[in-house]
Amino acid sequence: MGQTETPARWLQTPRRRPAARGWRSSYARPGAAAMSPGIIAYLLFSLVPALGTFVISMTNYSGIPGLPVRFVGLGNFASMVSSAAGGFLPSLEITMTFAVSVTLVQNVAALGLAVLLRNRFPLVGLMRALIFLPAALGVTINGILWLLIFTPNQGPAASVLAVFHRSSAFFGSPSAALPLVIFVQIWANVGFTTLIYLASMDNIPEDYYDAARLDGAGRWHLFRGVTYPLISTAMTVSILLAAVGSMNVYDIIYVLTGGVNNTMTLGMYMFNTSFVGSGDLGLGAAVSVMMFVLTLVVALPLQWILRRREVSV
Amino acid sequence: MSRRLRAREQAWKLALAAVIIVPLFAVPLLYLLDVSLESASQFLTDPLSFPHPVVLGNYPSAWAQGNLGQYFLNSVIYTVSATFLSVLFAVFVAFPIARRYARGGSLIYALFLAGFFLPVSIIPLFIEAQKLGLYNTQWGYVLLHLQTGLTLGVLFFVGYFSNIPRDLDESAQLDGCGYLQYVIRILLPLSGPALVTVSIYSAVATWNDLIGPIVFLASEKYFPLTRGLFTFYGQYESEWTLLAAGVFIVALPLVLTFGVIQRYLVRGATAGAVKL
Amino acid sequence: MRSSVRMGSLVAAAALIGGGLVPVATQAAVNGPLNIIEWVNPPAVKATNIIDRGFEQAYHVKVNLTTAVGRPTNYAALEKTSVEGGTQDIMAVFPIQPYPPGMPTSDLTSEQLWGVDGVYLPLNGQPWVKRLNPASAAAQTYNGKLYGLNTGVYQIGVFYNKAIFARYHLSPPRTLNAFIKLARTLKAKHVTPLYFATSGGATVYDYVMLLDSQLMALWPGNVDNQFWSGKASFESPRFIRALRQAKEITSFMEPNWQGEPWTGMPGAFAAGKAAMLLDGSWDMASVLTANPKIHIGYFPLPGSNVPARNQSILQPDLTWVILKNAPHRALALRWFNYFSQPKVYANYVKETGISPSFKGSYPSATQAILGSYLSKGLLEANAEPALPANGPFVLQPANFWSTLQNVLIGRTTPRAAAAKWETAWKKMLAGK
Repeated sequence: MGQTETPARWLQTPRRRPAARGWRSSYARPGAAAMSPGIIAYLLFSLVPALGTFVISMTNYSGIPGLPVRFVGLGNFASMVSSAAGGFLPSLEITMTFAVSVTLVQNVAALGLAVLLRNRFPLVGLMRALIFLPAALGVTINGILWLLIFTPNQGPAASVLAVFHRSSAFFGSPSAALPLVIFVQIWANVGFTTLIYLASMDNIPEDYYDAARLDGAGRWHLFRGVTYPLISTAMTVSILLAAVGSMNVYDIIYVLTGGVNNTMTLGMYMFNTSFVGSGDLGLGAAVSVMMFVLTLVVALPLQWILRRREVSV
Repeated sequence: MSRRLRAREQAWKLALAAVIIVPLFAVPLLYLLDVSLESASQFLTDPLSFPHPVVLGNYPSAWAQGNLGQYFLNSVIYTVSATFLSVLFAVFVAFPIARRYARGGSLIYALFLAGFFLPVSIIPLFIEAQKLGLYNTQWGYVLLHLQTGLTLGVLFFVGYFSNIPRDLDESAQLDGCGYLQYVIRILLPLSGPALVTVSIYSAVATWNDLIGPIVFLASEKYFPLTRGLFTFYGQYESEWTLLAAGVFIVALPLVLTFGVIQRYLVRGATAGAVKL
Repeated sequence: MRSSVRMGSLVAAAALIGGGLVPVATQAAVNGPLNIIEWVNPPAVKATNIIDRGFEQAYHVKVNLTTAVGRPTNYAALEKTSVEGGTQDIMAVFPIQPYPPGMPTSDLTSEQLWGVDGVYLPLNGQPWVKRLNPASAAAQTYNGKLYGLNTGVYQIGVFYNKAIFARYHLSPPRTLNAFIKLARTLKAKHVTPLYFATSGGATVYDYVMLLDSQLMALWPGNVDNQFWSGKASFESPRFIRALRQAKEITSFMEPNWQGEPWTGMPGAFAAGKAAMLLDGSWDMASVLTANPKIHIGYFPLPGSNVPARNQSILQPDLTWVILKNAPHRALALRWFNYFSQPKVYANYVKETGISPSFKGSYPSATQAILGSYLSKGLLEANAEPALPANGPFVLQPANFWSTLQNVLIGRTTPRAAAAKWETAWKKMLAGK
């Protein structure tokens, strides 16, 4: 871009009273016109489909060409939660286990790592980069990597267990699969959470610590008294991101287990009802709606609690 | 605390971090490299030791059988186009809102804010993709991935642009600088950090999407890396040496690129996350 | 002014991006390319690719093959999006018949449902139809309309490594007791007797390979129809016994067999990791590719001590259909014609080892392995109750298979599982 042509004097013009109404500016008309591609794209690919989810959830839409589409009211929701036919309740339980474990462990681990990696020191940069690496590798590579490591009769994980005279089917085991999937999810995302905490800790002035040290505060008290309260905003953000992200998870499940062995989270259940087996898009949309409700039910109070804590400190 | 003491504490902390991080984050990749250099027969009998002999042949075979170059190129095209377009669109939506150039700006802002709380809408998007002719096309795939960059971008840029002095627009107008020229020549260069943050989020979302290519694409030649590699994995699940080479071929450029840009990435990603 | 003109062109460009590809798609309808989807069975994919290249040369069009691994999982998603997307021409499915007379259509698999709902193009009167075996044609016919080209039948049973058997002076067992004795001998020599794997989305194998063989041996007649007409029970001694026997057989498999990827079965057997392999004949071509020197024998997995009761499971397999909304229907019909030419089809049989669906002689290495057992056995669909796709939760196929897996690995007892299935089954039949 022609940086040199940018007239630097614009930056130095004397301050003028701002125009009371922005839309009187000569940039107003072209500005408004130029908004249209973005707004059209947003309506088309975000808003309309989101509203569509609600509409489709109340139909028997199967997607089979030529088959009539009927309005079924809340029928999909009823059959979803009925104990006889519905897979919703088992998936809800799995999803909550997944989300609570991931949110807790990921944040505690990230906080610990952030404390370890917060000061500038040789090799700290490398460590920070390493934990962030899974985000760059992407879900498929991450999944394949751990499938390789957790090969039941051959991989490094099996060799470690063999030392203790144990073995496991790992992702093929109904009891081990969910904890392992939770582990991989945390492994893939802990770097990002750590970086949020690190960025937040970087903003704490060193004087605070010096003052606390003068008062004779020990290492734990420094953390409890200075670091912890001052990173509460970052904590709100990363807890919410982890909670919402893990409640809607399906990509990593898709790669690691496909939803078998007690790993059928709601996201996976939604995908399977919509696109696999009988392929019921109406029911799938209803599951999406329930996931949305669940996210609101969990995230809004959670946010309220976290924000209140921020204020009270 | 004395400087020496603090340095010693730092060394301890780093050692502890290394003991946790290296086995969890570096060793898996090194094991992948190890397997990719083993012969199939060594992997069956003795996978954990170093390759003996070192077999380089897995790499050309994986490359030839996996169509990996095509998948990689597709992923790059999708990620770059979707990120570029969505950020550009978001800038043009956000600026008039920030400046109150558009009537109803706050309504538009509220609409975008609502986008954060909407349900997963893969099913309507799938139907829409068919009706609009976007299903199983590369352009369609890009358009279907504008969502993240656009929603986040508008919310983020409105705040950012409000902090850029309004005087700047007015001086530019007095000098006869057109709107488009103003945005591209003046505004964008001043918005580097904001652009980087939103681009990262958009790029990561597009690059990592696995369900999107399963639902929106039907032809193998359009598959991005996520789905292509997953298909490759399914086909060669039992031939881990070949598979490991394939995964490593794809992982290496990512690791290198990431190594070069990680400083900016990390700064941009965290700046955004903390401000949101 | 200048800027708004530019802005206008940007909007126009964006609009073009959205709609630009529609005319291209209609134009392509005349010439191709022909788009085909198929699940991954490596020899069949290889054979299809060879046939596609031949077709491309003969007709000067492009043929694209898209594949997905895992028939009931990833491939099912590809089918679903393809049927609705309207971009594919030819699709590989399982035969739509037979399904039990009492089963409501809402409980059919989506492949069957599409057949019933007329998503597939009827093929009656095509020139190749009269060369089809009558049984094969019947499996593809619904309401008098022929919907697919069935490529043949595979056989499920036990494949054994002749060298390992010879080393320990073993011969193929003909009864369940003989099988167990043989497996114990191998175990005592620290040889894994039987290889089997279901990880990566193949819990269905627990059902169609393991349990079916036991049911078939213990239960004469059409088990499927007996269940759907309410004359059979999951809690009957025969069913419980079949579950127990199946569980005992898993004790001779490699440890943690349920965590090993199913796609690794031919490779592991070819590498000599076990003396026997419980599998379908579709994998033999892969075994022979991985280890051309291996000598393989075959016998049906016994479930009874009466030799005559132990039979192979027959599974009519890959069936090509043309989608009614296919953009290149005429070309697809031409491809079917090409595929069924004796010379081309012979190559398909040779590569895949399938037992042919067309009249005539088509030899393959797999047929040599099956020897006198070739094409003898009972249809898979008759040996097990067909599971309702939209029925009660515990009876939906994926959930039924995972409960069965829990029985096999000892997480639940045969009785507890059977009671759960029986309650749901009774309720379902009563509700019809």
